[in-house]
Amino acid sequence: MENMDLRFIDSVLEKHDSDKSKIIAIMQDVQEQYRYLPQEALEYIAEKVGMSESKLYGVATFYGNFSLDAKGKYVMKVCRGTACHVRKSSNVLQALYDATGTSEQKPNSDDGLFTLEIVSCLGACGLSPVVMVNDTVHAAMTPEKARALVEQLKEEA
Amino acid sequence: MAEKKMIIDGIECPFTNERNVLEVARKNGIDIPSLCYCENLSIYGGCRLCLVENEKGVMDAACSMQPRNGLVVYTHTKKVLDSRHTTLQLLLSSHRAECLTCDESGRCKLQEYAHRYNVVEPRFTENTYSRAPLDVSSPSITRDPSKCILCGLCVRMCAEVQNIGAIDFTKRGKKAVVAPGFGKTLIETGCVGCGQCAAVCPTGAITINNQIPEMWRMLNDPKKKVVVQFAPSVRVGLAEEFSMPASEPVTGKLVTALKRLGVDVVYDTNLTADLTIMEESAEFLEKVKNGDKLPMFTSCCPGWIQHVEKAHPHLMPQVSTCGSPMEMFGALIRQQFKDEDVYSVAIMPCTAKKFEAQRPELEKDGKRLIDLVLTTDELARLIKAAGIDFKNLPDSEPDSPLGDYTGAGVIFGVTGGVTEAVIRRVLDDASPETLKTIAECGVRGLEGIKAFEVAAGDLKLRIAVANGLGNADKLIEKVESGEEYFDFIEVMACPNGCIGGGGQPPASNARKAERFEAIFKADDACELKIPQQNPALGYVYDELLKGRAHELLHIHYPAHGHH
Repeated sequence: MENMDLRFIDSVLEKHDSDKSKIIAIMQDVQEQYRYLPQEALEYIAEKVGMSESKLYGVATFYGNFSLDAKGKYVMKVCRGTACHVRKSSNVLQALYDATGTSEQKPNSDDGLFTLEIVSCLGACGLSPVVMVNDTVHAAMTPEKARALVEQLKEEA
Repeated sequence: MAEKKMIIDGIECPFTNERNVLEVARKNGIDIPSLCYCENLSIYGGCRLCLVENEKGVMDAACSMQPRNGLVVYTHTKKVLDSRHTTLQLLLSSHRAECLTCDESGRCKLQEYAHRYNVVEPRFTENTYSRAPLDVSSPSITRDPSKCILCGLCVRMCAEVQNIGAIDFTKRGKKAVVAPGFGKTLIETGCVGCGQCAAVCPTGAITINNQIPEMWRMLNDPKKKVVVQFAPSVRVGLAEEFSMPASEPVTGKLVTALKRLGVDVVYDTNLTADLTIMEESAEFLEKVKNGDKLPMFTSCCPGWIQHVEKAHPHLMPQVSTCGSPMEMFGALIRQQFKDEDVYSVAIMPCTAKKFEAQRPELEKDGKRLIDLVLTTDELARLIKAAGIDFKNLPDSEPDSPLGDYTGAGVIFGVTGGVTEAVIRRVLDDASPETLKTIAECGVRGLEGIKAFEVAAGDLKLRIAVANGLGNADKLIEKVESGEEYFDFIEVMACPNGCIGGGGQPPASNARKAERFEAIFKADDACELKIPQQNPALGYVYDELLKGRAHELLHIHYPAHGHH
């Protein structure tokens, strides 16, 4: 993330009065823009709100919803909760890994399009097995539907 | 008002304003174990070792329990002992216990408690200690997450006392690790190598870089002339390592011990503390005369210098260019033994000195001024390894001709000492009355920040003294906001000054107060009190420095800019 545009960060800081007690809201806004928290942005924020880098990094790494790694254009949340598990979400997950060239150890695809995340429950058990792509819920998934979904997203990209 | 009392283990324990039950118990001779509590830091309540039980059988952490009149607690019931045992078992299950070869062995609190509370067999055999990498980037300290028990003492020390925050808790749950942000190493953070984190670390997770083998190699090399200098506060920290009271300086025994170790020449850094005062006072008066930007900041403390460079680089031109006493002695030793194969060693209360000695600026005429820095603590281990019965050693004097010093040099070891020495120099009067006036002007004491005024002829000087970098930052803020004005500011990075240095044996506040007392006993023992009385200075300036005083005794760090 060379020479990132700090004007956006400045606007976020301004919105939250550069107040360190609003640090989570600040980071949420930054993550919404970049889909992750770039190190350069966090270092800049730490300086501006008067917080040590290590403390800010500590907060960012405490919460599972913050990511310090760049994410793909499509973040696929594969539900591995009980209901989805019973309806064979493991096969769906494997199909997505294969189709996108990712794995548990390497959640980002090389083309920068996909990030695979395992989540414990999306609260949509009646639709199981569920996969969420960015903000869209895909219900009653099968390995076939998963492969088709990846193909379709690749074409759209 | 009636005296307040609480009942601990059936014993009436009077208390006044103690911050928690743990302090009340300890003050009354009951040692409740704790791994995450320090009297100078905020209360964390994380280690759960200080749990005590009340009359209803409810357990709570003594460190987080407010004392109140009539409160009844028990510290070694079956429930408490069982809980301690389990807590220690759990801590050991995620601690890389290589105790025999660990640098902290023998003083590790986890080791001590495991033994004291009879943890003789590990209950959880699969060890989940952190596999986060070892951090050896700092010349001063080493961070080993595999031995970290996440007590957070280092985190609080660095943030609350030093206002740096180089490390913090990162990640969560079993992946949690105390580390700098973004996977950086210590050297890439605001860390100044003060070693206060190592001093509070209860285990071997942060240790001081151990250079003892290097010293043995040189001592046993017949071709090397080993010349050792030792700092003012070494004489008041060493005694404790040999079960002697902290309140008496052990200068004579220290010199004898160094000689018995095989050191060829022993000098007392006090001489160059005197020299520093001569140079620094001259520089200060010159700045006052020229109307240069004030305050002038002191420069003896390498932790402070690094803090200015990293956190306040714009202030560096206001920092004195005087080398530290260690640096100055290094320069004199190179002049004294010009053509000899000298190995120049400094025994310091300080871990940041290990860094200072390596700085490129500490090289003159193509030679390193200091080859090796050992801490007070490392020296104690050398003495023990040589089988020397320190307690019963006779006294010796440092070697001549660089062995003389005055009381002004000795007091460098405590916060305010450099300033008091400067005032002694500037007032230029060694009468007991003047010395008493100086001693009572507000410069003495262990407070974090002291501010006072001194009249020197027609000059009225506003002076401040800070110890601990957090206090220094507070002072700087006041100066920069225009709230306060000072002509001269002394800063020592470690709380209480060098007597509480990261290289000293770790000590309680009470112990440090004894060291403070010992420093002034050493001052009292000096017939000469003001640096200009030091009889060696003539030799130093005329025979050794020969007009090169500024070149050899002053250090221009890059951030100093051009003069």
